[in-house]
Amino acid sequence: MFQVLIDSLIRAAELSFLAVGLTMVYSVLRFPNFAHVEFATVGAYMALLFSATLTLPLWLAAAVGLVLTGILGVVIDRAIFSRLRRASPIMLMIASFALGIAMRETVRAIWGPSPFFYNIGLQRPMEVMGARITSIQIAIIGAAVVAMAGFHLLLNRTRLGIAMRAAADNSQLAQSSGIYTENVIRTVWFIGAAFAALGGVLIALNTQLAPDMGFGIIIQVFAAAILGGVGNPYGALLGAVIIGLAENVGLAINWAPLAEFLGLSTSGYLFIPTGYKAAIPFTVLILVLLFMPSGLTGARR
Amino acid sequence: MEREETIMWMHKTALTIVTGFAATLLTASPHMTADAQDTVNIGMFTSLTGPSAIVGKDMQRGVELAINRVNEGYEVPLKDGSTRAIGPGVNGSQIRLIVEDSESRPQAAMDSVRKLVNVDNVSVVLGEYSSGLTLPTGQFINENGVVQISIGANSPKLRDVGPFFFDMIGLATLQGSAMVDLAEQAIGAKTFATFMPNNPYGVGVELAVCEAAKERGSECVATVRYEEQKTDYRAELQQANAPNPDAVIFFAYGAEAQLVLRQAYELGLNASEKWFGTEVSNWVNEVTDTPEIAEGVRGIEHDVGGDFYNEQYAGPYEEAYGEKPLTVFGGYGYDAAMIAALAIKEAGSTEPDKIREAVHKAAETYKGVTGDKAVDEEGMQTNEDYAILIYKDGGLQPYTP
Repeated sequence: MFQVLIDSLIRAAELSFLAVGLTMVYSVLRFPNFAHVEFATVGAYMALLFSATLTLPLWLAAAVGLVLTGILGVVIDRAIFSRLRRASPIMLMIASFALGIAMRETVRAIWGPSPFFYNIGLQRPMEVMGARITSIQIAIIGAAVVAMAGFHLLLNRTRLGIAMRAAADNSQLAQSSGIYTENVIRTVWFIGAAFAALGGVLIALNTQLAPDMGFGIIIQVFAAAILGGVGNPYGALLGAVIIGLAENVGLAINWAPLAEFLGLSTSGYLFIPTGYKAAIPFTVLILVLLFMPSGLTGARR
Repeated sequence: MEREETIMWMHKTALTIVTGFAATLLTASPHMTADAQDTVNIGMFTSLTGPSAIVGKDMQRGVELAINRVNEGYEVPLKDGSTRAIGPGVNGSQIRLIVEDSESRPQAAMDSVRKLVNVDNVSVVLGEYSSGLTLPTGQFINENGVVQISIGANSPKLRDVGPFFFDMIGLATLQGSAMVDLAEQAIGAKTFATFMPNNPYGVGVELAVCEAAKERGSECVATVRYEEQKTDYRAELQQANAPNPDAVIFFAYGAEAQLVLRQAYELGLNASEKWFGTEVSNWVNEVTDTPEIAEGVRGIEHDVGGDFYNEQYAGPYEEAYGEKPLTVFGGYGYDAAMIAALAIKEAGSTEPDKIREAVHKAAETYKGVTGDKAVDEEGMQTNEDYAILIYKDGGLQPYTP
């Protein structure tokens, strides 16, 4: 069971980078950015580009990739979304969907659909209380904790963070109080895209790179963000933890005792078929929304 | 005024585009019909990219080898020791091979066969390797009355595709008992878990394994069907391992097998002792960077080899491509293409009904580089030999349980 908890934590860490960025963009611009998960893919491939072709060490390649993906986020906002500031959320949503396809297919066109691995060799697992974990996986959880703590400090202890929160709360009021909201928006895009890129690099380190690696977890990321009450970064973090747990624990529960109690015969083991893995976050999401319509953190809006 | 100008401009642009298209169509169509008369088109859809890219490339090479021989003229060996002369070309035309990339995914495969059937008017379609791609496309091809010879797919469901559908490899039903026997002889396994892709092939093998286990008084304690092309299989792997089965019977495509085996290794699932794979050569090239993850994994593979295979296929293959055959599946591609050519020659036309009849006859007498290729009434292979192998020291080696 401890293994399941560790797997859930790894998953939660990976998801949190994407869910927090998604929710930040939403909080300021008020639209669900379906292209957000593609920043993870782009970031991961950029790290591959700089480490494999320019033979930079992987950490440096990842750092360069992060910054470039952050800049890409700002550029995309300048080029597309800044022209659509007054458009309805539906328009923005469709635009982001199209952008997502364009980004994903561009990656596919450049690198092809075959998966890649970072050249880090095989990780030997170590045993912790009967569960197995690799150093990469510890690093993923560590990176998530550090990044989220840093993000918390940014939001609460810096002028920029306070401006971001103000713009999220009421952008017109923030503007009339002397906060230049376009600057805030740019920062949000940069941080959101760079966070997603970091998430992408970590996912790729743990598994592999593929053009669909971001799109493949879009449901989980959205579920985490909505679960936490859209627009609330702390909620998104909590949502990521819950989705990570739901996915792994949901598949690990043995239902045989229950089935036998109901008079059904089993071979001693009865699991939810793994085909339902993607449906588990949805079920959790629906259950939560039935009882707490504005998400777990109960945003007041 | 400005608005009207914009509208005018839009109309003009639209008109230009439409006339452009029309012009292209007009010039293109006579050319296409002329083309069709000059050559006999054979289409192939195969995964040149995606997880099955290496197998896909190998099959393309096998097919090309056969088509080139037919176009140059060749004495095709028959089962009774005689040969049949074919070519140059068939029925007075050269064969033109049109290859489409099915990208290891059903949607791209569907686009490929639509083009082959509707645009290229091919007489025979060859492919694919994955049953997940072969089944949906097979139904489309069959409904259009075009003969298809599948090369590497072997889901038991292929039997129901239709009268124009043939296969070159034994169906998975034959693999179930082979796997259970192997695990029983190797480690005395009595309880089995299956870890299979949730596609027609994987489910087909799963059912065959569990049925074979039951017949021998053993049982399946876990049957995991995983979704393909995901980035994380940890939860699935642990579900397969939860009842602590004696043996895990698994399959994964190329690069995906690398991920699955790596995560199994990281979770300490002891693949080297408990895991048995079907068609193990399909990932042998992909695990070379990290051979530890597959070390000791045993399994079965279609048994090809021997003097006839080397002399007819492996030798000339190495001459043409500068390396040994990448997988066993290229040989099946060669046989599929050769039978297609023989059938078109036998039929004397490109009429689907005649070709279909002729495939049955050609498969009966033809001596395949991958063994006996005779098909039953439904166009499926009647038998299949398996080799038992172990992954050791960076490669597959023969194994005796």
